[in-house]
Amino acid sequence: MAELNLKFPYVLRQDKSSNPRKSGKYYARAWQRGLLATRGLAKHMAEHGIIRNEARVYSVLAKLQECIPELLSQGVGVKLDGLGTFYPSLTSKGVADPTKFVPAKHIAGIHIRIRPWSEEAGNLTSKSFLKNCEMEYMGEVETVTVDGKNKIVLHRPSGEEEGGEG
Amino acid sequence: MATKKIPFEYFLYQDRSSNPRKSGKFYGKRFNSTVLGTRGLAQHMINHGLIAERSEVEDVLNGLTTCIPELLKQGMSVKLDGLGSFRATVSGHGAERIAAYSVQKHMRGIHMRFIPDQTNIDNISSKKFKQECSLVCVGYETVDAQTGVHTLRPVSAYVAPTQP
Repeated sequence: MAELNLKFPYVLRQDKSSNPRKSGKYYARAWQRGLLATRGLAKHMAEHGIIRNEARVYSVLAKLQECIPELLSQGVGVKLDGLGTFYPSLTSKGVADPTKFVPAKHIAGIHIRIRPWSEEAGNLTSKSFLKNCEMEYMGEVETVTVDGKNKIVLHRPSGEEEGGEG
Repeated sequence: MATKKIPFEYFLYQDRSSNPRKSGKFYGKRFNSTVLGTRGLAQHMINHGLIAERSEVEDVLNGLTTCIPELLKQGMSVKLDGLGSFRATVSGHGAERIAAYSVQKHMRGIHMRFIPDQTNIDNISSKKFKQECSLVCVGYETVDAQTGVHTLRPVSAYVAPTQP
């Protein structure tokens, strides 16, 4: 993985909603090449020479996964330079009188959000991220129903077809 | 930090929008705006029993912030078990025909998304994560109409406005 230099894969999908402004038009969607889990990421990072020992990298990532939710549960944000800031946000129902606000009843949930890194070097906000990606058109996708289940099918420009996750 | 459980502090603010269903009602919002940087996080992890030099932990964290964007740029998703997944999504305008689609013209941006882990043991989706937090209300917010200054007052001191 470390040696690969793949382009960002995207597909086009025709909108089939009832929205008259959108229906029939083709929109781009990201095409997922694969999913790298913690162990795969540790291997990738070791291959990049960050720390040669994959097990050491894995142990740091494992602790990271424990500590970030813990800090967020205490209302503390976590900023990783070059990636972004994790922060918690609340969603709640409104009450007319603050003395009647009951967290168990009125707070619907606490969400973990990430604000992408927005400094000039390595800016990951959407427009800059797009500028820094090389794009590769993979084909057109459509959702088909097979045995009552929705499945995404990719029609490659070459005429080949394959299923996958968009 | 390693041994002390800090509560999740929130305050109540009054909605001042023109939405008639929301306007005037009080909603919860996170109060604490403390942010821990890479160095602080590395130290925190060591305090929590990670056996490593701080420089080594910082190297891994810095590597992580280089590798995740690099992998996303190649169309990969990255999942950190117990935390969540990073993936990229595309936003933009529609084209009438496939042949007319142009990245420069129709694509607006590529967004880095984070989806919290929702597997049984590590579920930190919003409802479950709320249960992990020890919620403490630090007051309700008032805004001075003339100066625009925001002040927090104890909820117990709230007096409902009298109807005209």
